[in-house]
Amino acid sequence: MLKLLVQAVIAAAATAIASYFLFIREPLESLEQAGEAHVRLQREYRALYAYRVNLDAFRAQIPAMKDLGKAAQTILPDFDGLGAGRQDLEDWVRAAAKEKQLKPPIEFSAADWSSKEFYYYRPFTVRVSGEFTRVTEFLQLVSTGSPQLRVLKSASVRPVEGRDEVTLSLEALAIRHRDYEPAVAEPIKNRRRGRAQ
Amino acid sequence: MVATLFAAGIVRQFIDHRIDAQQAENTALESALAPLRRETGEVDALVKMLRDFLERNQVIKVLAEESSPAAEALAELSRLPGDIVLTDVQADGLQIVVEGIARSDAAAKRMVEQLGTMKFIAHPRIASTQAAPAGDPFGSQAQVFKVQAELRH
Repeated sequence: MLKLLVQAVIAAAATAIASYFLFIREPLESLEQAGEAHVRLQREYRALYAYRVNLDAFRAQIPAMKDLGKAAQTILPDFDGLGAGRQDLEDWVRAAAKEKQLKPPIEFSAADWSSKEFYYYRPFTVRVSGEFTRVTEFLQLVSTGSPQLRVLKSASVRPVEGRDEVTLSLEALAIRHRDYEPAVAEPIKNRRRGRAQ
Repeated sequence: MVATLFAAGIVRQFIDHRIDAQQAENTALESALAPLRRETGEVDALVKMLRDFLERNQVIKVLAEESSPAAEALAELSRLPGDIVLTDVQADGLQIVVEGIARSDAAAKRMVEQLGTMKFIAHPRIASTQAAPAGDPFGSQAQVFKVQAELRH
């Protein structure tokens, strides 16, 4: 009797498991997918509805936002390639020196672009001589007074012997914007291969 | 076994029914979303613009703080009185070292007091001072000094 009962229970359990795999598992997964899609659509609907409610306010912000964006792009322009910008930078420094009536020679050197997480930078150095006031104005024009963001790292001013002039040596960085691109995850199989090597 | 199969059939029917209902709701949501997406398309451009602006602005703020305000500090140093002659000024990041000759020890001290009131120069201190070499145009009281200070925005 007990044996029969145990056999019946085992048969019922086996049938239940087989039925789950044959009839229930696949539609259950479909139901879960449909539920996830529903949550996603609801989230999108709520976000877009909030946008629509505030559409007039958003529209009103567009001109101001465009101006702000344009100003930010002038201060921190987009990076346009490793080879770009060196001559522009030199021309701009020489034009600033000319504007402040600093006479040649103007020594200029620039290194290549390097990058950090959110920006590219190009170190450059300038050496120029002239009247103290004009040199100071030139330094201001090249660093904090520049329309584009420049980071002045160091500046040194020394009198020129025998003349009423000073020599300015400066080290600074030209900066460009970098879109943040998160590091692409390395495929696991490549990592394994790398370790094996 | 038959009962189990029957129960599985009922569960299957219930799930199918739920799937149909869910898909019908999703279709209704999709149709409600279509005009919303059209209407709010222009907001996406604004949001992108705003994100770009905030990113750039953050970088600008952080880097501008790192930039040495040496030009502004030099402009302030140019206002020192005539009994001070500067022979070397070195700004490195937010540190500045000024070397020069003062007409007297008292003139050097007055200069440090004046530096302390400046906008872009903070915490000036005399690092060293010694008598100027004989024959200095400022006379026998002249002092060669070295002042260290910090720069601020």
